[in-house]
Amino acid sequence: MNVRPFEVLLVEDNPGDVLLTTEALEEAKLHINMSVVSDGVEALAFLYRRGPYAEAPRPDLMLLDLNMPRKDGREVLAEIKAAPDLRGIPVVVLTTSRAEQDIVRTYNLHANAYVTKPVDLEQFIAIVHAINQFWFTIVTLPPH
Amino acid sequence: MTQTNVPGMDRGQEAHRIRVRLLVSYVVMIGLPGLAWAVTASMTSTLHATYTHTVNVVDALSTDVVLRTKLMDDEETGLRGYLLTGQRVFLQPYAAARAALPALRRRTETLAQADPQLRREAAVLERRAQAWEAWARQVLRLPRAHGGNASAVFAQQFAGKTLFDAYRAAADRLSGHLALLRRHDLQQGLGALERANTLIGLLFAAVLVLGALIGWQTTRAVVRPLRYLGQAAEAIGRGALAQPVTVRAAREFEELALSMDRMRHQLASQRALAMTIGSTLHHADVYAEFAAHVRELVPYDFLSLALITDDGTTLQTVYATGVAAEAVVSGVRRPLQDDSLCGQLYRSRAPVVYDDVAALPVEVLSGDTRRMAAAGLRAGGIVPLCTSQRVTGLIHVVRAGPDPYTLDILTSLITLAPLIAAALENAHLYQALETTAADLRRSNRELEQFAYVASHDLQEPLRMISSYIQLLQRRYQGQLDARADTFIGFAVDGVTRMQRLINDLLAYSRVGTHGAPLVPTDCGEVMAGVIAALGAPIAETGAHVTYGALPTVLADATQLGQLFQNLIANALKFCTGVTPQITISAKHVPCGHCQTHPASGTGLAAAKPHAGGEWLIHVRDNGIGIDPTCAERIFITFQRLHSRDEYPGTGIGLAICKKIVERHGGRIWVESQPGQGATFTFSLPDADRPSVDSEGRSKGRAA
Repeated sequence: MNVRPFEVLLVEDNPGDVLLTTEALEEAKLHINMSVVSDGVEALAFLYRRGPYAEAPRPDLMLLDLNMPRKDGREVLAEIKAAPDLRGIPVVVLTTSRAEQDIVRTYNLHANAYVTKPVDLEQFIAIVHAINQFWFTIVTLPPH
Repeated sequence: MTQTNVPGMDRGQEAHRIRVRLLVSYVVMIGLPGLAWAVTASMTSTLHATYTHTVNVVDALSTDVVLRTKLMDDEETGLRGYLLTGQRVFLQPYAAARAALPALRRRTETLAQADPQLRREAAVLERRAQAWEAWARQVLRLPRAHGGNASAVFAQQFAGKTLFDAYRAAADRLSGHLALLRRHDLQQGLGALERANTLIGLLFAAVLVLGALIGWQTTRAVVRPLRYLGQAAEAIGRGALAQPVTVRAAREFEELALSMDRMRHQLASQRALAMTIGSTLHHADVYAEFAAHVRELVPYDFLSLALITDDGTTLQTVYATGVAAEAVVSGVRRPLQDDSLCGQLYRSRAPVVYDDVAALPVEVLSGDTRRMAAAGLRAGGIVPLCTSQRVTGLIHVVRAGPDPYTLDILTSLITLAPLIAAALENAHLYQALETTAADLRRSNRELEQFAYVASHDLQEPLRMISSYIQLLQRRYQGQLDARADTFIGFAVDGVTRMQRLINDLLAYSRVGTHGAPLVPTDCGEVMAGVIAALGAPIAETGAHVTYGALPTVLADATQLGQLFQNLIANALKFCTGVTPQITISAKHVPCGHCQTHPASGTGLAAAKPHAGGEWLIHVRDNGIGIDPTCAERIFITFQRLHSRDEYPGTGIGLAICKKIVERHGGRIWVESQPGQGATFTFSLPDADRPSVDSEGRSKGRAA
């Protein structure tokens, strides 16, 4: 079995959501190492290990918000899925938007899943657990 | 019609031809009796000539010949007696005849001059008579007393007989010739009579033929045009104005046809104007149509139209055309002074005409009268545009040239004035209505957009509040004091309610902004889905939900489902203390019987008249019922009749129902009494006719 922690990259500009997600992950009791960046530019720097992220780990899973300043989630998604060495990273779009056009567009950009953030805390926690559960215990991920 | 325009045929020429033909007929008609008279006169003259010839020449000569022969006989008898007896007494008849003969001889000679042959034969007769008389005188010179013997006398007598016989033969030949002449005269007279007879017969036949010809010509020239004009008048009377009235006939008929055609044209123009203007909805179109049609009814060189404001204080020229029209500044407002010409018209409501525009005040109606006069305009007329209440405007026509207008000429304009006034009023109302409708649509769209954006963007901060309060509750419940737990409880409750309100508001606004096209949709199928979705609450309450055959209607299936779900959920909610019995039924109402309910919606869609049939769908329950006075309130957003503790909910469910029904072109209402259940009814138009969504766009039936 894999002894290293699972690496999760959360791309989220809202600190409230960052904290909520962190709290939810804590409750999950999984061995997870979560990194957080607040916009698309930082996310790509993290993935390409540029600047302050030279030592950044390669994430096993990305949780990507859509609406962000500077470079939004759609652009980040398009770049990742166009890059041969990054496109293997599973990307779960986690957003407040329920708009049909967002859902269609992100899947067309090869997002691996589209999840709408529920308003209710209990549901939110349940969803974060479910995501972790699915990606880290059910699914077999590609080796690093 | 019998007469039409023949291309290339000059109408004047044709009329001339008909006139000439008639004239010739009349001349011949009058000439024929003249000819008959001439024939008779010629015959009479011929008869007279032959008769005169017969009596004066032939008969007289015949008598003369007979008389002369008798006298000659008397001479011969006397002479013979004397010669036989020698007695001088026997010579008496001879002497008497000798005395009478010379007069007769002269007459014969004169009468015989008429004819050469007569002259010749009369000459022969005369010569022979003289020969015998010469012999007689010779014989008488040989008296018996002078010793003549009997044999010598006999010899003399024999010679005398020969001479006398020759005379007789000449007399007979002359008589024979006279008889021939008499017969010739008679034949000539008879011939003249026969010729006259034949000629008069021919003339009579010619009169007959000519009479028939004139009759035919009269039919052609009078009866046919008259019949045609009668039919044309009848057609115009019936209102068939398309066929031009034109006839090729005498000038009088052509003039009559021409004035009938003018009348037809005027009527057609009036009707065309009435029809066009009645259906014209924009001011500018009304003006242009009016100016174009009026030209055919009333000749003008300048026309303007001015409107009077509702309060009767201001006159505004809105349209001008023709000579000097550029001198008119459209849109300029002028005060309508009581003592001015226009002011008088406004009060009297009667049209006026004037002879010279230059004599008017400088500013009357539409601009500078001096400039109009300078442009050659002279006589004019002003006709007020009257509605039943007041004068709404003035029509001003002016023309160049010396002829003044009369009220008679302006009759068409005066007749049409109320129509123009009504058309302008209509255009005005239509414009106002259109503006209001456009404002309403825009405001509605903005509101819906606003509601959607607001509720959507409100979700984000609300989620933060909600999540962290819940996190607080989750992590720290029991660690603070009891009051803190109560505070947190209220905060959680408030946030939850707000979320629900926002979600409901979002759902409400989505009805207008996120609707799918209306397509034929099976209500039964939708209903089955709804009942499946409501499986849990139905099972919980033990409700009986029944529905009969439901129709196919034009609908957005998702919204129709939401409509049924809201109504059924509502019925389930308000059935406390009894087992809910919910019945859904449908009824078709044909055209003209569409039910109007006082409680029906007040929106545009609800007020729309239904041209075809519609379906009424009833959702009946046995719940607590509704006070009829509140029947309208329950369809208004966030209106509740009960406290949240009694019956949960935000009060938007029925408002959404109403909005969905109205988007589908129907109405919704409730009939109920407290404690006796409630029946919610909504109407939906037939699937086979186009419906109208809340935006007012017509949606055709989708394939």
